[in-house]
Formats: sequence, structure tokens, C-alpha cells
Amino acid sequence: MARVLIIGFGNPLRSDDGVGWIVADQLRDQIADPEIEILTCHQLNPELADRIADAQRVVFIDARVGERPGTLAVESLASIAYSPGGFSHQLDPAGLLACAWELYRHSPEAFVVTVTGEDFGFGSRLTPAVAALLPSLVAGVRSLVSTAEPQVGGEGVNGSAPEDECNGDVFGN
Amino acid sequence: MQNIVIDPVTRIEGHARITIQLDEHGVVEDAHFHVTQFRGFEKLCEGRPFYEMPALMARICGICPVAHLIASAKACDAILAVRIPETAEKLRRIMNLAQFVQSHALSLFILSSPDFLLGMDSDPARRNLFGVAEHNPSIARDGIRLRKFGQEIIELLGGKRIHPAWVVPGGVSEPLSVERRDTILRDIPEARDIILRSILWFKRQLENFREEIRTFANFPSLFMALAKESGGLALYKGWLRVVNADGDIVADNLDPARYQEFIGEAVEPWSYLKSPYYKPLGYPAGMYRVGPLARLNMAKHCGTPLADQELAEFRELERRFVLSSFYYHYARLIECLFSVERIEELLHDPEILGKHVRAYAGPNNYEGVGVAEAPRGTLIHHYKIDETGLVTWANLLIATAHNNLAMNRGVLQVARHYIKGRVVPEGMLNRVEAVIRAFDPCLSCSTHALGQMRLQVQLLEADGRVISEVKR
Repeated sequence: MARVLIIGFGNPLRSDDGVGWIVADQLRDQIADPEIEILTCHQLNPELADRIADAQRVVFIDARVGERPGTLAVESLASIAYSPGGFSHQLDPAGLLACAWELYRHSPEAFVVTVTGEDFGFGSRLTPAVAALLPSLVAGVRSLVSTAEPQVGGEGVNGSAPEDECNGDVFGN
Repeated sequence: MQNIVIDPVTRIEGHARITIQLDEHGVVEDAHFHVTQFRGFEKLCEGRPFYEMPALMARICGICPVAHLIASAKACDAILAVRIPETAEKLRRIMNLAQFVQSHALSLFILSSPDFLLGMDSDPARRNLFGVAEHNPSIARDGIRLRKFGQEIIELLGGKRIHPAWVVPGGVSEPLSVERRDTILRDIPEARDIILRSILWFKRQLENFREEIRTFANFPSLFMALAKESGGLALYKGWLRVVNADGDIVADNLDPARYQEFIGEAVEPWSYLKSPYYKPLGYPAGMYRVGPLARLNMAKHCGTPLADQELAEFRELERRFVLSSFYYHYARLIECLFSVERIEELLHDPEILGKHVRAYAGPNNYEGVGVAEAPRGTLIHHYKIDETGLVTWANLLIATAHNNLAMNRGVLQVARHYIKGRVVPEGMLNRVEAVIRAFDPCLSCSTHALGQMRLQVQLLEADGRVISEVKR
């Protein structure tokens, strides 16, 4: 059982949507801790719920659509309140946490790290605005998984975007 | 005349809409299942090298990429004119069987079990995996575990669970290691136990769904599937067989490569999904069904002990062939059981660790057809190439399309039974959706579109005005 689970998700063939995969790949090169498991996937499917339930901490890395490309945001998913709506077989991070809680009665501490993308068209390269954030993204996720009590964001700890959005240090490190 | 529109149809793979037309007296006159998405893979593969086809065609679907890998690779085998190594064929079979387990588990446990556990008339906001988890978490856990079991085998064989590129023209790209074989074997008993208790649970549910069993696409039709000479369940290769509702063989030993001689493909202006039919009976009388129900109706035996026991009981459901499409769900569970048993047998075969897993050749034919049973039914890939090996033409005949005529007739049957007048309770519309879910259509596979899973039901006035609409 991994103590920490890092999940980079999105479509690596859709330019900036692949940022989660690229960060995860770079983390794989840097982290040799057997208690940290790093996954990549296109979507968050329900079968990830048991791995989530086994972890003590989970970090999701994803791209998002927004007005300011290259904006980095870190959100703490403290609540498991979730409304599934028309759910079929893919979930968002909150849904996956809720699923883990409903099925296994364990929902770990979780963070969602997102970068606002610029281009989601076909392609396997990041735009410069997103690529420029890679070093701080990788370092930031490392701090989230290595700190006993991670400090997130400046103003918006545990809050939703945009309070903890910025282009620089939102990891509190 | 009024129309009821269900848009989007929920808990299916892809985008669809159902319209139900009422006459002046509020009686259901007609109904259609419209597939509103378009993929276009047949066209976009033109000009690509044929050996790229398996990896490209796997992109058709994130649920059943393996089915397309297998059928596509078989079409390429035919272009190479090679006989693939025995070990490669067995390894492909294991991956195909693992896909049956994960795909059937998704259909039954995640998409359809909310109807069984919470009821067709339950609160639609709870009719999902979360509602199931609240009502009966062990069923939800079993479903997730079973799907994961299949996905992990695919990942262990192919390197990744979605779009593995391990199945290639001429065989597979890499042999199976002892460690990976043993990892799969380790999980077999748990998967088998999950399926056995799920079958028991499902059989107990049947009594609560007698009306749905009686009305869910329950009519005589032809059935088509791959068949073995021995009469056993054929999932990877065989001849095509067509039987009627009485179980009489209508056509046998049909060469799948010559499918165009006996399967016609009709196109309707209200759907992107083609409507294949059995040519000798014409359109639409040549309606046939494929998939788990067709396969189990046709198979004399599955070929593994526990699945054969369950098949014997399945046969007792109706006096002759099992005609109600509600039983597709039941058939899926039996196929899961067969798949797990067969995977275990194949993994114990000493040849399975063989190192010779690929035959090499250049293109020796300008045309190739690949056929296999996908979870939803018979899947056909047909390519033509030029002298440089570039694809000039492709035709894909997908399992969901084979069932299109039957799904439309099923929607009409359910609508006629449950919809009385202009005020339609949500639970009645859910039954109209549920008959579609029984077939487990994969619309992303079968129309070649991007986006979320949606479903819509519309109730239309005699003049075409929408008087009721459900969208999700």
C-alpha cells in the first residue's frame, strides 16, 4: 500500500491537457520512495477508488480551462460532499474521493493541482506559458507529498479557486 | 400526434436520443433510437499504413479498445497472409477474455445495477454507482474489483490498460513472463468468487423484474455469432452462424470474410448508426441480434465447468431460445465466468510462456477481413490497401450496429407497454432507457464522436411539438 498516491490525468495528445502526465513522468524520474506511487490516466475511473482508499494522501494533477493561461492553483479537497449528477463511468477528483469513502470508508487527505491551459488542440507539446511552470509544479507536488503537514497556497488554503491561484508559489514552500 | 423525447439517454457509452411519437389519442405510434454522434474512423484511416491500423483503431473506444485491436490485427494478419504463432493466438485470447470481464462488469455493475438494486422508479439522482454503494456497497465493490481484474490483465499483457499497442499484425509484440502469468493467476480465485456470488444475486433479482423481462425487446428475431464446429462458445475465431428464434440454423459455416454477401447495411436519415440486416430476408425483416444473448442462445456449451453449469440453468429460462433482451445482463455474467475460467486454463498451458509470438511478412494481399466477438457482439474490420501498403478503404461493422434494428424495436415495445397518455412518469422513461442499456450499446465504437455520455427522451405532439422532455 502506497502512503502517497500521485495521479496525473488528462489527454497527453491534447497539448496542455497532458501537463499532468508530463509532471508525473518527471516526478517518476526524481522520486524513488516505494511509499509514493505515481499513476497517469486519461480519466478518473471508479476502479481507482480502492487505491485512493489505501492511500494516506493523494495529489491529483490536471489542466483546466480558464482565462489566464499559465495560472497555477492548488486546492485541498477536505470535504467529501459530492453530487454525482449524471455520472456514468468517469469521475472528477471529488467524486473519486467520495466513491472511496462510500465504498471503503476511507477518504485520504487530497490536493488538486491545476494549471490553466492555453491550447487543448491536437498535439503532444505544452504551450510556453504552461511549460514555464513545470519546475515549480514538480517542486510543488514534491513538497505536497513530502511534508508531514503540507502548507497550501497563500491566501486560499482549502478554499476553492481563484483565491489560491497565482503564477508563482501556491504550495506554501 | 405527440412526441416524447429522451435526450440524452444516460448510462450508455456515447450520445443518443429517443423519440416516442403518440397519436391523437395519446397512444404510442412509433419510437426511434437516434444515435447523434459521429466518429468517422472509416474515412480518417485512409492513406495510413495498414500496419498502423491496430493501434489507430484501438482509439475508437476507451471501453473496448481490445476488441478493435484484435479484429484489426486479424484483418492485418490476412493482409500479411500469415498464420500467427500458437502462443500469440493464446495470448490474444487472454487479452480478449480479460476485456470481456472488464467491459461486462462496467455494463452490469456500474451502468445497469442501479436499476436492479434501487428500482426502475427510484430517484434518478440516486440511480448511479453512489446510490448502489449506499444501498449495497458489497455489490459496488465487487463490480469495481471485477472491472479492475480485467483491466489489470490487459495492462500486464499490453503495458497499459487503455489502448495497449501489444497486439500487432502477425501476433503480439512481447511474450508473457512467468512473473506476469503468476500475478494474473493469483487473482483468479477472487474474480471467480465475485462472479459466482453476483450470478446468485442476479438470479434472485429476476423475480422483481417479471414485467421488464416480458417487455424488454422480447420478440422473435434472428441471432448471429461466431460458432465452432463443436458447438462451443466462440469468442476469438470461428464461422458465422445465423439461427432463428426457434433455434433452427438458418445459415451455417458462413465465412466471416465474405460478410458482404449475407449482411446488408441500411442507412436511416435519423441516426448515424447503420442498420445491418441479414440480406436473404431483406430490410428490415432481416433484423438479428448479436452479443451475449445471441452467443449463449447459440452455444451448445461454453467449454468450462462452472460456466457450463450456469448455461444449463440459463437454458431453462424460456421454453426454447431465450428471447427477452433483459437476459443480456444474465448472459454477461455467465460470459464473465467463462472468461475467468478460460483465462486460467490458458495460463496453465505450457505454451503460454513461449517466446515465438510474432510472424513477420510484408503485405501479400491487397485486402483483409478480421472478425472476432467483442463483448457487445460480432466485430468486423475490413481493409483494402494499395501496392505500397497504404489503406485505401475501410469498413467497420460494429456489434452495436448489428443490434440497431432490435434496439429500435425494443424501444417501441417498451414504450407501447409503459406509456399510456401524455403524462409520463420518469420511471417509465427510465425503462425506455433501460431496454437500450440491456444491449450495452457502445456508440463511440459504432459511429466513428467525442464528448460525454448523454441521453435524451422526447415526447412529441402529433404535429411534432415537444410536449415532454427528459435530459441528463
